Amino acid sequence: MKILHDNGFTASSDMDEAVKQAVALAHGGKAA
Amino acid sequence: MNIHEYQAKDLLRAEGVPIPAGDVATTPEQAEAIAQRLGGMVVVKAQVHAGGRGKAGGVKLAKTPAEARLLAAKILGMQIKGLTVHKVLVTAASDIASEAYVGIILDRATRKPVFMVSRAGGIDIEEVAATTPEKILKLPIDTRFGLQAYQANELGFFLFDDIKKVRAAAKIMTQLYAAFMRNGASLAEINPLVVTPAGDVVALDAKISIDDNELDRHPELEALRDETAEEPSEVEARNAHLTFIKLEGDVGCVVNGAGLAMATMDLVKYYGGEPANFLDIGGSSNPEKVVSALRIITEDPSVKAILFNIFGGITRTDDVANGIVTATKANPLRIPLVIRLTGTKSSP
Repeated sequence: MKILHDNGFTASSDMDEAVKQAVALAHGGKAA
Repeated sequence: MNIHEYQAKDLLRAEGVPIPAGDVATTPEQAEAIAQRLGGMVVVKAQVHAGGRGKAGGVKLAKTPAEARLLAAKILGMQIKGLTVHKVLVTAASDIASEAYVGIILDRATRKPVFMVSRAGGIDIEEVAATTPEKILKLPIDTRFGLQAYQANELGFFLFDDIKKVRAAAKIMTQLYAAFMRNGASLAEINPLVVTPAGDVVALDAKISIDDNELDRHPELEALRDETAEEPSEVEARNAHLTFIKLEGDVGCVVNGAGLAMATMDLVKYYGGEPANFLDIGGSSNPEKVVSALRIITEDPSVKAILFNIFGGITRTDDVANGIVTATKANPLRIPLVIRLTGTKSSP
Protein backbone atom coordinates (compact mmCIF):
# COMPACT_ATOMS: atom_id res chain seq x y z
CA MET A 1 0.00 0.00 0.00
CA LYS A 2 2.79 2.42 0.95
CA ILE A 3 4.57 1.94 -2.37
CA LEU A 4 1.37 2.73 -4.23
CA HIS A 5 0.46 5.73 -2.09
CA ASP A 6 4.01 7.14 -2.36
CA ASN A 7 3.65 7.00 -6.14
CA GLY A 8 0.30 8.70 -6.31
CA PHE A 9 -2.01 5.69 -6.49
CA THR A 10 -4.96 4.93 -4.32
CA ALA A 11 -5.72 1.38 -3.32
CA SER A 12 -8.01 -0.40 -0.96
CA SER A 13 -8.34 -3.86 0.47
CA ASP A 14 -12.10 -4.04 -0.24
CA MET A 15 -12.74 -6.22 -3.27
CA ASP A 16 -16.41 -5.38 -3.49
CA GLU A 17 -15.82 -1.64 -3.55
CA ALA A 18 -12.94 -1.94 -6.01
CA VAL A 19 -15.03 -3.90 -8.51
CA LYS A 20 -17.93 -1.43 -8.18
CA GLN A 21 -15.53 1.47 -8.84
CA ALA A 22 -13.98 -0.23 -11.87
CA VAL A 23 -17.38 -0.95 -13.42
CA ALA A 24 -18.54 2.64 -12.79
CA LEU A 25 -15.37 4.05 -14.35
CA ALA A 26 -15.66 1.78 -17.39
CA HIS A 27 -19.19 3.11 -17.87
CA GLY A 28 -17.89 6.68 -17.82
CA GLY A 29 -18.90 7.35 -14.24
CA LYS A 30 -16.83 8.53 -11.34
CA ALA A 31 -15.08 6.34 -8.83
CA ALA A 32 -17.09 5.89 -5.64
CA MET B 1 -4.48 -25.26 -28.35
CA ASN B 2 -6.27 -25.42 -31.66
CA ILE B 3 -4.53 -26.91 -34.65
CA HIS B 4 -5.36 -26.56 -38.32
CA GLU B 5 -7.50 -28.98 -40.29
CA TYR B 6 -4.50 -30.30 -42.25
CA GLN B 7 -2.64 -30.97 -39.00
CA ALA B 8 -5.65 -32.70 -37.46
CA LYS B 9 -5.96 -34.85 -40.57
CA ASP B 10 -2.31 -35.85 -40.26
CA LEU B 11 -2.93 -37.00 -36.67
CA LEU B 12 -5.99 -38.98 -37.77
CA ARG B 13 -4.18 -40.48 -40.78
CA ALA B 14 -1.51 -41.72 -38.38
CA GLU B 15 -4.23 -43.79 -36.70
CA GLY B 16 -5.49 -45.11 -40.04
CA VAL B 17 -8.60 -42.95 -40.54
CA PRO B 18 -9.44 -42.88 -44.28
CA ILE B 19 -8.96 -39.30 -45.48
CA PRO B 20 -8.68 -38.02 -49.06
CA ALA B 21 -5.11 -37.17 -50.10
CA GLY B 22 -4.06 -33.55 -49.80
CA ASP B 23 -1.30 -31.14 -48.92
CA VAL B 24 -0.91 -27.63 -47.59
CA ALA B 25 0.18 -24.62 -49.66
CA THR B 26 1.25 -21.11 -48.76
CA THR B 27 1.37 -19.79 -52.35
CA PRO B 28 -0.95 -20.14 -55.37
CA GLU B 29 1.86 -21.87 -57.28
CA GLN B 30 2.20 -24.52 -54.57
CA ALA B 31 -1.57 -25.02 -54.66
CA GLU B 32 -1.44 -25.57 -58.42
CA ALA B 33 1.42 -28.07 -58.08
CA ILE B 34 -0.46 -30.04 -55.42
CA ALA B 35 -3.62 -30.08 -57.57
CA GLN B 36 -1.53 -31.29 -60.51
CA ARG B 37 -0.07 -34.08 -58.40
CA LEU B 38 -3.47 -35.14 -57.03
CA GLY B 39 -5.16 -35.08 -60.45
CA GLY B 40 -8.90 -34.56 -60.93
CA MET B 41 -11.02 -32.05 -59.04
CA VAL B 42 -9.69 -30.62 -55.79
CA VAL B 43 -11.03 -28.54 -52.93
CA VAL B 44 -9.04 -25.48 -51.83
CA LYS B 45 -9.68 -24.84 -48.12
CA ALA B 46 -8.60 -21.88 -46.00
CA GLN B 47 -6.66 -22.96 -42.91
CA VAL B 48 -7.73 -20.72 -40.04
CA HIS B 49 -8.88 -21.45 -36.51
CA ALA B 50 -12.47 -20.46 -37.21
CA GLY B 51 -15.70 -22.14 -38.16
CA GLY B 52 -17.87 -21.05 -41.07
CA ARG B 53 -15.01 -21.09 -43.58
CA GLY B 54 -17.30 -22.23 -46.38
CA LYS B 55 -19.86 -19.48 -45.77
CA ALA B 56 -17.03 -16.94 -45.72
CA GLY B 57 -15.85 -18.05 -49.16
CA GLY B 58 -12.80 -19.87 -47.83
CA VAL B 59 -13.64 -23.29 -49.30
CA LYS B 60 -13.83 -23.66 -53.09
CA LEU B 61 -13.96 -26.46 -55.63
CA ALA B 62 -11.42 -26.36 -58.48
CA LYS B 63 -11.80 -28.39 -61.66
CA THR B 64 -8.24 -27.85 -62.89
CA PRO B 65 -4.81 -27.08 -61.36
CA ALA B 66 -4.95 -23.62 -62.96
CA GLU B 67 -8.28 -22.94 -61.26
CA ALA B 68 -6.79 -24.19 -57.97
CA ARG B 69 -4.05 -21.57 -58.34
CA LEU B 70 -6.59 -18.81 -59.01
CA LEU B 71 -8.75 -19.82 -56.07
CA ALA B 72 -5.74 -20.12 -53.75
CA ALA B 73 -4.72 -16.59 -54.79
CA LYS B 74 -8.17 -15.35 -53.74
CA ILE B 75 -8.30 -17.28 -50.47
CA LEU B 76 -4.74 -16.60 -49.28
CA GLY B 77 -4.78 -13.26 -47.49
CA MET B 78 -8.54 -13.38 -47.02
CA GLN B 79 -9.92 -12.40 -43.59
CA ILE B 80 -12.20 -14.93 -41.91
CA LYS B 81 -13.63 -13.83 -38.57
CA GLY B 82 -10.73 -11.42 -38.14
CA LEU B 83 -8.07 -14.03 -38.94
CA THR B 84 -5.87 -13.77 -42.01
CA VAL B 85 -5.54 -16.90 -44.15
CA HIS B 86 -1.86 -17.79 -44.57
CA LYS B 87 -2.27 -21.40 -45.73
CA VAL B 88 -4.68 -23.42 -47.82
CA LEU B 89 -5.25 -27.15 -47.86
CA VAL B 90 -5.56 -28.58 -51.35
CA THR B 91 -7.33 -31.91 -51.14
CA ALA B 92 -8.88 -34.37 -53.56
CA ALA B 93 -12.61 -33.73 -54.01
CA SER B 94 -15.02 -36.50 -53.01
CA ASP B 95 -18.50 -37.29 -54.24
CA ILE B 96 -20.93 -37.40 -51.32
CA ALA B 97 -23.91 -39.70 -50.86
CA SER B 98 -24.53 -38.83 -47.20
CA GLU B 99 -22.91 -36.89 -44.36
CA ALA B 100 -22.65 -37.74 -40.66
CA TYR B 101 -21.04 -36.15 -37.58
CA VAL B 102 -18.60 -37.89 -35.24
CA GLY B 103 -16.92 -36.17 -32.34
CA ILE B 104 -15.36 -36.69 -28.91
CA ILE B 105 -15.31 -33.99 -26.27
CA LEU B 106 -13.91 -34.04 -22.78
CA ASP B 107 -17.03 -33.75 -20.66
CA ARG B 108 -16.48 -32.06 -17.30
CA ALA B 109 -19.80 -33.25 -15.88
CA THR B 110 -19.07 -36.96 -16.35
CA ARG B 111 -15.28 -36.46 -16.23
CA LYS B 112 -15.00 -38.69 -19.26
CA PRO B 113 -14.47 -38.42 -22.98
CA VAL B 114 -17.92 -38.47 -24.53
CA PHE B 115 -18.65 -39.58 -28.08
CA MET B 116 -21.28 -37.59 -29.92
CA VAL B 117 -22.51 -38.95 -33.22
CA SER B 118 -25.31 -37.89 -35.52
CA ARG B 119 -26.67 -38.66 -38.96
CA ALA B 120 -27.06 -34.89 -39.35
CA GLY B 121 -23.50 -34.18 -40.47
CA GLY B 122 -21.87 -31.37 -42.38
CA ILE B 123 -23.70 -28.71 -40.39
CA ASP B 124 -23.19 -26.98 -37.07
CA ILE B 125 -23.58 -29.71 -34.44
CA GLU B 126 -24.47 -27.13 -31.76
CA GLU B 127 -27.50 -26.23 -33.85
CA VAL B 128 -28.51 -29.90 -34.10
CA ALA B 129 -28.08 -30.27 -30.32
CA ALA B 130 -30.25 -27.21 -29.70
CA THR B 131 -33.06 -27.96 -32.15
CA THR B 132 -33.13 -31.76 -32.57
CA PRO B 133 -31.20 -33.34 -29.68
CA GLU B 134 -32.78 -36.73 -30.42
CA LYS B 135 -30.62 -36.85 -33.55
CA ILE B 136 -27.48 -37.07 -31.42
CA LEU B 137 -26.22 -40.13 -29.54
CA LYS B 138 -23.93 -39.34 -26.59
CA LEU B 139 -21.79 -42.12 -25.20
CA PRO B 140 -19.36 -41.56 -22.28
CA ILE B 141 -16.24 -43.72 -22.35
CA ASP B 142 -14.58 -45.14 -19.24
CA THR B 143 -10.90 -44.42 -19.84
CA ARG B 144 -9.89 -47.38 -17.67
CA PHE B 145 -11.16 -49.70 -20.39
CA GLY B 146 -11.18 -47.46 -23.47
CA LEU B 147 -13.68 -47.71 -26.30
CA GLN B 148 -14.98 -51.26 -26.41
CA ALA B 149 -15.89 -53.01 -29.68
CA TYR B 150 -19.58 -53.21 -28.73
CA GLN B 151 -19.60 -49.44 -28.06
CA ALA B 152 -17.95 -48.69 -31.40
CA ASN B 153 -20.62 -50.85 -33.08
CA GLU B 154 -23.39 -49.09 -31.15
CA LEU B 155 -22.11 -45.76 -32.46
CA GLY B 156 -21.84 -47.19 -35.97
CA PHE B 157 -25.41 -48.53 -35.88
CA PHE B 158 -26.69 -45.10 -34.82
CA LEU B 159 -25.21 -43.67 -38.02
CA PHE B 160 -25.85 -46.36 -40.61
CA ASP B 161 -28.20 -49.25 -41.38
CA ASP B 162 -25.91 -51.09 -43.77
CA ILE B 163 -23.58 -53.46 -41.87
CA LYS B 164 -20.60 -52.74 -44.12
CA LYS B 165 -20.83 -49.03 -43.34
CA VAL B 166 -21.46 -49.75 -39.65
CA ARG B 167 -18.22 -51.74 -39.49
CA ALA B 168 -16.30 -49.04 -41.36
CA ALA B 169 -17.68 -46.38 -39.01
CA ALA B 170 -16.93 -48.48 -35.91
CA LYS B 171 -13.32 -48.80 -37.04
CA ILE B 172 -13.10 -45.03 -37.52
CA MET B 173 -14.56 -44.51 -34.00
CA THR B 174 -11.74 -46.66 -32.60
CA GLN B 175 -9.14 -44.73 -34.59
CA LEU B 176 -10.61 -41.38 -33.57
CA TYR B 177 -10.59 -42.41 -29.92
CA ALA B 178 -6.95 -43.50 -30.24
CA ALA B 179 -6.04 -40.12 -31.73
CA PHE B 180 -7.98 -38.32 -28.98
CA MET B 181 -6.19 -40.17 -26.18
CA ARG B 182 -2.71 -40.36 -27.73
CA ASN B 183 -2.58 -36.61 -28.38
CA GLY B 184 -4.17 -35.42 -25.15
CA ALA B 185 -7.05 -33.80 -27.00
CA SER B 186 -9.95 -31.98 -25.41
CA LEU B 187 -11.93 -32.21 -28.65
CA ALA B 188 -11.62 -34.33 -31.79
CA GLU B 189 -14.26 -34.28 -34.46
CA ILE B 190 -14.89 -35.43 -38.00
CA ASN B 191 -17.53 -33.31 -39.66
CA PRO B 192 -18.55 -34.49 -42.10
CA LEU B 193 -17.91 -38.19 -42.07
CA VAL B 194 -19.17 -38.97 -45.55
CA VAL B 195 -20.31 -42.00 -47.44
CA THR B 196 -19.25 -41.88 -51.08
CA PRO B 197 -21.50 -43.20 -53.88
CA ALA B 198 -19.21 -46.26 -53.93
CA GLY B 199 -20.10 -46.90 -50.26
CA ASP B 200 -16.76 -45.90 -48.72
CA VAL B 201 -16.83 -44.11 -45.37
CA VAL B 202 -14.35 -41.20 -45.40
CA ALA B 203 -13.43 -38.24 -43.15
CA LEU B 204 -13.72 -35.04 -45.17
CA ASP B 205 -13.01 -32.49 -42.45
CA ALA B 206 -11.37 -32.76 -39.06
CA LYS B 207 -10.87 -30.60 -36.01
CA ILE B 208 -8.70 -31.33 -32.99
CA SER B 209 -8.04 -29.16 -29.92
CA ILE B 210 -5.15 -30.18 -27.70
CA ASP B 211 -5.42 -29.74 -23.94
CA ASP B 212 -2.82 -27.06 -23.10
CA ASN B 213 -1.79 -29.06 -20.04
CA GLU B 214 -0.62 -31.88 -22.35
CA LEU B 215 1.79 -29.74 -24.33
CA ASP B 216 4.74 -30.11 -21.96
CA ARG B 217 4.82 -33.84 -22.59
CA HIS B 218 3.98 -33.50 -26.29
CA PRO B 219 6.61 -31.14 -27.75
CA GLU B 220 5.76 -32.52 -31.20
CA LEU B 221 2.25 -31.10 -30.78
CA GLU B 222 3.49 -27.79 -29.37
CA ALA B 223 5.50 -27.54 -32.61
CA LEU B 224 2.19 -27.49 -34.52
CA ARG B 225 1.20 -24.19 -32.91
CA ASP B 226 0.53 -21.44 -35.45
CA GLU B 227 0.81 -18.12 -33.63
CA THR B 228 -0.34 -16.21 -36.72
CA ALA B 229 -3.73 -17.91 -36.29
CA GLU B 230 -4.13 -16.85 -32.66
CA GLU B 231 -5.26 -13.68 -30.90
CA PRO B 232 -2.02 -11.56 -30.73
CA SER B 233 -2.65 -10.55 -27.10
CA GLU B 234 -2.99 -14.21 -26.10
CA VAL B 235 0.33 -15.02 -27.83
CA GLU B 236 2.06 -12.16 -26.00
CA ALA B 237 0.55 -13.28 -22.69
CA ARG B 238 1.65 -16.87 -23.15
CA ASN B 239 5.20 -15.72 -23.92
CA ALA B 240 5.09 -13.70 -20.66
CA HIS B 241 3.87 -16.82 -18.79
CA LEU B 242 0.49 -15.27 -18.07
CA THR B 243 -2.81 -17.08 -18.37
CA PHE B 244 -4.87 -14.75 -20.54
CA ILE B 245 -8.10 -15.05 -22.47
CA LYS B 246 -9.45 -12.13 -24.43
CA LEU B 247 -13.13 -11.39 -23.80
CA GLU B 248 -15.61 -8.88 -25.18
CA GLY B 249 -16.08 -6.45 -22.27
CA ASP B 250 -14.44 -3.17 -21.19
CA VAL B 251 -13.15 -3.82 -17.65
CA GLY B 252 -9.56 -5.04 -17.89
CA CYS B 253 -8.83 -7.45 -15.04
CA VAL B 254 -5.40 -8.28 -13.55
CA VAL B 255 -5.77 -10.92 -10.87
CA ASN B 256 -3.57 -13.45 -9.10
CA GLY B 257 -4.91 -16.96 -9.11
CA ALA B 258 -7.45 -18.53 -11.44
CA GLY B 259 -10.13 -18.89 -8.75
CA LEU B 260 -9.95 -15.24 -7.73
CA ALA B 261 -9.89 -14.28 -11.42
CA MET B 262 -13.13 -16.21 -11.99
CA ALA B 263 -14.70 -14.67 -8.89
CA THR B 264 -13.60 -11.22 -10.05
CA MET B 265 -15.23 -11.70 -13.44
CA ASP B 266 -18.42 -12.88 -11.73
CA LEU B 267 -18.41 -9.79 -9.53
CA VAL B 268 -17.78 -7.47 -12.47
CA LYS B 269 -20.86 -8.95 -14.18
CA TYR B 270 -22.82 -8.79 -10.92
CA TYR B 271 -22.26 -5.04 -10.79
CA GLY B 272 -23.36 -4.61 -14.41
CA GLY B 273 -19.99 -4.63 -16.12
CA GLU B 274 -18.34 -6.92 -18.63
CA PRO B 275 -14.79 -8.21 -18.16
CA ALA B 276 -12.46 -7.49 -21.07
CA ASN B 277 -10.31 -10.48 -20.25
CA PHE B 278 -9.39 -13.29 -17.94
CA LEU B 279 -5.84 -12.66 -16.73
CA ASP B 280 -4.08 -14.63 -14.04
CA ILE B 281 -0.60 -13.37 -13.18
CA GLY B 282 -0.02 -16.56 -11.21
CA GLY B 283 1.00 -17.19 -7.67
CA SER B 284 4.62 -16.12 -7.85
CA SER B 285 6.13 -12.75 -7.05
CA ASN B 286 7.41 -11.20 -10.23
CA PRO B 287 7.03 -7.49 -11.00
CA GLU B 288 7.83 -8.22 -14.66
CA LYS B 289 4.58 -10.17 -14.95
CA VAL B 290 2.67 -7.12 -13.79
CA VAL B 291 4.44 -4.97 -16.36
CA SER B 292 3.57 -7.47 -19.12
CA ALA B 293 -0.02 -7.75 -17.91
CA LEU B 294 -0.56 -3.98 -17.98
CA ARG B 295 1.02 -3.69 -21.42
CA ILE B 296 -1.26 -6.40 -22.85
CA ILE B 297 -4.40 -4.92 -21.31
CA THR B 298 -3.67 -1.33 -22.32
CA GLU B 299 -3.11 -2.44 -25.94
CA ASP B 300 -6.79 -3.42 -26.06
CA PRO B 301 -8.74 -0.34 -27.22
CA SER B 302 -12.00 -1.68 -25.79
CA VAL B 303 -10.70 -1.50 -22.20
CA LYS B 304 -12.14 1.56 -20.42
CA ALA B 305 -10.92 0.84 -16.88
CA ILE B 306 -8.40 -1.52 -15.31
CA LEU B 307 -8.99 -3.46 -12.13
CA PHE B 308 -6.17 -5.03 -10.13
CA ASN B 309 -7.42 -7.60 -7.68
CA ILE B 310 -4.54 -9.07 -5.71
CA PHE B 311 -4.81 -11.33 -2.70
CA GLY B 312 -1.26 -11.82 -1.50
CA GLY B 313 -0.51 -15.35 -0.36
CA ILE B 314 2.64 -16.59 -2.06
CA THR B 315 2.36 -13.46 -4.18
CA ARG B 316 3.94 -10.49 -2.43
CA THR B 317 1.81 -7.42 -2.83
CA ASP B 318 4.89 -5.15 -2.66
CA ASP B 319 6.18 -6.87 -5.80
CA VAL B 320 2.85 -6.26 -7.51
CA ALA B 321 2.89 -2.62 -6.37
CA ASN B 322 6.42 -2.18 -7.73
CA GLY B 323 5.28 -3.73 -11.01
CA ILE B 324 2.38 -1.26 -11.25
CA VAL B 325 4.69 1.70 -10.55
CA THR B 326 7.33 0.50 -13.04
CA ALA B 327 4.77 -0.20 -15.77
CA THR B 328 2.92 3.10 -15.41
CA LYS B 329 6.14 5.12 -15.31
CA ALA B 330 7.28 3.51 -18.55
CA ASN B 331 3.85 3.81 -20.17
CA PRO B 332 1.58 6.36 -18.44
CA LEU B 333 -2.01 5.16 -18.32
CA ARG B 334 -4.73 6.95 -20.25
CA ILE B 335 -7.53 5.02 -18.58
CA PRO B 336 -8.48 4.79 -14.88
CA LEU B 337 -6.92 2.17 -12.66
CA VAL B 338 -8.56 0.69 -9.57
CA ILE B 339 -6.41 -1.35 -7.21
CA ARG B 340 -7.51 -3.83 -4.59
CA LEU B 341 -4.56 -5.17 -2.66
CA THR B 342 -4.46 -7.23 0.47
CA GLY B 343 -2.39 -9.99 2.04
CA THR B 344 1.36 -10.60 2.18
CA LYS B 345 3.35 -7.37 2.57
CA SER B 346 0.32 -5.17 2.00
CA SER B 347 0.85 -3.25 5.24
CA PRO B 348 3.87 -0.97 5.69
